[in-house]
Amino acid sequence: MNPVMTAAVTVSDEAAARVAELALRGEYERMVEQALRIPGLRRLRITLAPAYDAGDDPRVLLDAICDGAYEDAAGSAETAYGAWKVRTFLPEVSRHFCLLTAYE
Amino acid sequence: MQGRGFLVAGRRLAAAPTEGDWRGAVMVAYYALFLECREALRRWGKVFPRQANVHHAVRTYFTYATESALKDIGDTLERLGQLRSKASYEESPQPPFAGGTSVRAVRQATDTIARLDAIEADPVRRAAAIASLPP
Repeated sequence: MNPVMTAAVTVSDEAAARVAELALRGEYERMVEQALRIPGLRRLRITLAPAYDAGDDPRVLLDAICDGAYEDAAGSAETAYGAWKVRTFLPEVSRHFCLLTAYE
Repeated sequence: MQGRGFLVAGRRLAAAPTEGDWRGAVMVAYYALFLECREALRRWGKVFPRQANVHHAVRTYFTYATESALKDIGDTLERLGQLRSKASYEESPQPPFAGGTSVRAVRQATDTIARLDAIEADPVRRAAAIASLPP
């Protein structure tokens, strides 16, 4: 398992309120901790993404902004995070959260 | 045209020089995978009510499947769906579209369609996948 990185984490008021509304604080904290293990992570920005036309609930979106030197491993980092998430949490929990990576 | 037909346009757009191209690549990557997933569900006997939001319905089938392979496909569909929403609706400059995000989105759609094909081609895996879907 990768070590936990020291990275700036920002959480929007809307995202925090959504986590509280869902009563999923513990699960959310585990997802954030797992995100902090993404190689090359610089910043983690957590917001509430509107559903737009997807016909679903808004998502708590974890945008992991990472060092561009790690981009070659980007696809595997997202896939590994997703695999961990869907095997760790029930769909009723995991469906409310989504992690995306971006590299700079 | 099958959903995967969008992948050719996706590769072309991902290699093009502007943010509009990159956003377009992300959009078609999502639709390529979404359409392939929808058609797989139809072949597997699922019917989508006319009034249902089919994006939500398709994602829900994969998310709530008990087979890990389908859950993984659902997770990729979710991620590409969130990227598509950013690409389609958020007008402010989006850091995710600078760099390789669009290339990666097209690659993930391509790889995930291949995983779906592998399930379809194997009678045992196909039967297990169908059995693992929610009603």
